[in-house]
Amino acid sequence: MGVGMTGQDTTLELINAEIDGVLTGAQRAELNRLLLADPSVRALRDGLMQTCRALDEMPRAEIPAGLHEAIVSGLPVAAPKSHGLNRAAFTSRPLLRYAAAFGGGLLVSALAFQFGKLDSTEFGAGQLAGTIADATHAEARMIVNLDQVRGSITLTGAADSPQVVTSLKSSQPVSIVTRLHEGGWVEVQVVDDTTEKVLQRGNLRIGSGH
Amino acid sequence: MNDESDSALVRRTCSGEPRAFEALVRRHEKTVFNAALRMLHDREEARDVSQTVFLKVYEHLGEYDPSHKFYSWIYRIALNESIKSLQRRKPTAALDFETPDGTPGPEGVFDQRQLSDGMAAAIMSLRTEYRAVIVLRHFMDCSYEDMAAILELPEKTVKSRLFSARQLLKTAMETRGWASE
Repeated sequence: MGVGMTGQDTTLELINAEIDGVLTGAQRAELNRLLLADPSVRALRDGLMQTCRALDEMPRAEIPAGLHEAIVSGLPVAAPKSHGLNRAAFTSRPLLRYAAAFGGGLLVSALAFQFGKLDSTEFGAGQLAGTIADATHAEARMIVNLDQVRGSITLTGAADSPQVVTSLKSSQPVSIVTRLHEGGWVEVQVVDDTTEKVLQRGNLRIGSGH
Repeated sequence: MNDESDSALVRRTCSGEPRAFEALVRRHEKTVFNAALRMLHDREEARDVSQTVFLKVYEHLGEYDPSHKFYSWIYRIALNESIKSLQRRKPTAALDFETPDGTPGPEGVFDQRQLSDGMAAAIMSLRTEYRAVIVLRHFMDCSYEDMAAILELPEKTVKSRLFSARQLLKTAMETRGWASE
């Protein structure tokens, strides 16, 4: 007696699919057939369902008093930094924007996407290099006007803790890679994620001449 | 705002807004703590693990890949930290775990508290890899797909492990006197 060995895996899969709420119609019919035909399947199914119900009904503990405050107060004062060439891909979303704070090293910021329609035919020819660094204000901007991506990358904020803000449209996956150099210069690269080719490179700096 | 996505909060944190990370903590702390508690069965250890998890998340936030679910990432860290905490225990510690009152009440039935305590003991009797899938599925509400991503295992393997874990739990409960009908 008992669940037939050859069908045991299937039987277990069906019972667990029922427990997890992912049983299809055909699977439901098959499970019902097995339940009717074999009391041991019914016993197994009832026991597993009871076990899982008991698991799901276990009370969730409240967090200990003071844990939240301990977590928050234990965090470093400095904003988290990115490490290495950690690119955040733009995927294929056409219109995007990101902002980041950094204190040094090589970084790529997190991205926030806004969705929009891109008409690539309105773009001009790609520019493989170019820099527009406006150091007269507490902001420096690089214009990007490529076939694949168009918009601007802006360096803003204080000179010792600059932020990178982008406003870009992209028709294919690209990454923005930034590197902070001595003297407060920030090198910015627009990289094609597919070919790894640098499409545009520029240098930005806040606060003093360039 | 409550509706703000995890990714948006991560982005704001990286932009220098610590309040945004506090919102992330508030959103996930209870799940992380309960996961650690079920993995460790020790409130103090679970508390320490929870603190460590959020500190690690913060320190490595710049490495977070926004193409993946944030909670998958944080849950993976929570499981790993719980397992590390288990490994730091003395080898005999796990064997010292006692099953709470395993006898039914006067009416011959277990009350909810007994059942819950018995289940907690049964969970602790599982090997770590089985306990992890039970915690992910039943205490963190993860789908098969989420579990596969968190454990970095094929979905088929995760399902097989979960099904086995449930059977082991059922058997463990039966041996503790909680017979299924």
